[in-house]
Amino acid sequence: MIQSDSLHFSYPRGPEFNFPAFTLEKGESLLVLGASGSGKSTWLQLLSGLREPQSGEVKIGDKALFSMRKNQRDLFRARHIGFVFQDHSFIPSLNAWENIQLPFSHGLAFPKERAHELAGQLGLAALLKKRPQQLSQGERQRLSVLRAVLPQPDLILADEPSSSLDDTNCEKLIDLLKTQCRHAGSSLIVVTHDQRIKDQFERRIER
Amino acid sequence: MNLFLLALKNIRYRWMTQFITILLIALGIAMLWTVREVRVQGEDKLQKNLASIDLVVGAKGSPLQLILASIYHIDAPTGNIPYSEALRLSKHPMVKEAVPLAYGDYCQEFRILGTSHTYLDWYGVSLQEGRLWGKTGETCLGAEVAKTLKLKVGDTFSGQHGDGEAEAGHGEYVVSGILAPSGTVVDQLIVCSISSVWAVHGEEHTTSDTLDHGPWTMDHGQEITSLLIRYKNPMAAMRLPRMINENTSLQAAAPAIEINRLSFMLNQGSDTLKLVGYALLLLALFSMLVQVWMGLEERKTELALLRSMGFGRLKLLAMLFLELSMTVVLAYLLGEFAGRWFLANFSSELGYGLAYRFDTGTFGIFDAQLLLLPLLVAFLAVLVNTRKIYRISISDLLQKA
Repeated sequence: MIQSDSLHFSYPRGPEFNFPAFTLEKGESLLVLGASGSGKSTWLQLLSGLREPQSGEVKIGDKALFSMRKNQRDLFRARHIGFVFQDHSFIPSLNAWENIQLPFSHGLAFPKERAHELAGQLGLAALLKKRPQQLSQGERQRLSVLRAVLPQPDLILADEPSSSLDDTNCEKLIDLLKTQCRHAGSSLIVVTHDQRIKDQFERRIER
Repeated sequence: MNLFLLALKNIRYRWMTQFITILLIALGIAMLWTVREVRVQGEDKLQKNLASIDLVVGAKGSPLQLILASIYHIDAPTGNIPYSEALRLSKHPMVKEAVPLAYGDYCQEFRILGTSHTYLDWYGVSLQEGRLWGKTGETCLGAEVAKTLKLKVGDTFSGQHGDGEAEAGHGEYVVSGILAPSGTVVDQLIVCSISSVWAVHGEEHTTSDTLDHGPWTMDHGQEITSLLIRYKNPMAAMRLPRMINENTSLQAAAPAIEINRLSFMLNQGSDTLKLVGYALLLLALFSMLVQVWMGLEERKTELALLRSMGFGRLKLLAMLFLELSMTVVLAYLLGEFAGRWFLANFSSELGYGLAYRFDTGTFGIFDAQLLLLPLLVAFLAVLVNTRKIYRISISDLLQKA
């Protein structure tokens, strides 16, 4: 569960932003839609604790993000927040299987069986030995989703996950994200300017 | 996944870009190692083989050549001298002890040397097996010779002119003893009596066992190659060489003076090579610094991704240091191996002759320094890039929207 107060953030000699309060239960999803410069990325950075607001607090589970020290927050983020990035970045020196193990480098036990099961569900079972750059765009997207949901984080933040995709793949990806987050019990926040996915979300905040 | 494994995989993935750096660092290390070992071990061999010999008397010619031939056995002798003259000199009041040398043939690359038993005493060489030579044709093998030729006591072998192909039947020798390893030139020699050398070269003489293991009491009119002398007192160093050079047809050369001159010349050459080696190594390390600086720009996304997965900044710095350390350690090992391989296989090309083998199994402070320098540069590369890594944030992966 994620609970955010109204957040206020202003850049030094830059724009000021106010973001509305919201609460998201386990397995629920939220779409943040807005044009460039509307502060979507700033909001995403605040929700993940990468930036501190001038006022307001974000609680993930029962932990208040901004009452933690910076290094505690870094560790908390690694364990409780998953990311899906627009360009579906991976470590090129590692194969797909090693890439999905990365979030487990800090004491979490790697759920090997669940990883195989999920990889099978996402059609990646035969591709796990391949390097990310050897995969097609669609395969990379699915791998990116697998990496984000596998640790079953409290929150998954997806930043423009669909903007480089055609309509069919775009719809598939969002469906996949929502389904996997629901199964993993993770709250999902998708931040995008892509109007095509608007109808796939019941809860939306438009900026 | 631990940092070590991650760093290792990163190196493997980027091996093409690391290859030239590794090669250059290895080349610099190999060059520095070889130059130093040749210098240190060469000087050590030169000093060790002096065996407190104060003066070498031989035929007129180059004094350095006389020393190199008579003490180090790495050059042709300047000629022969009458045995009677040598005998007369050995009885001079300023001479404490004298040892005659007569060059014989070769067995493969090893020289057969006619001398007296005192020669072994001077070098502190003892018998390992068998007994010292006695009769004409009996020889004692230096430790390295016995090992290389795989000869044992009682075996026979043929000599040959020069160090080329064996000429069948040119002097038959029998092994009467094998000498213990001494780390001196004797290890590389086949030692026998002077009468054995004369016998092979057809110089008739009355065989006498007392001739070659002293005292020198007989003169048969033959020639020897040179005479090694130890002085009775320091005054001899002032007077004896001058007396020989001015009043006889012989040449006297002081090994200490000639070797100092030789060392000076060798050191000049090795200093130049050392400079080239350091320049190469520093250039390679500088190129590594630049490569890391530029490479981090390319790897920004990758590092930001690691940050998003909980890798702290210190961990990223540690990973970078591990990558660089592993790279330089690999280059170092390659360089050390290349240097040792070169010395093991090409030492005869370095002017020390076939008879000198360099020890390639040494590991000393200099080797540690050779590793420490690249490791320090690796640490410096991390230090220089600390700011860059500290500024890497997950925000770098997010779209600026």
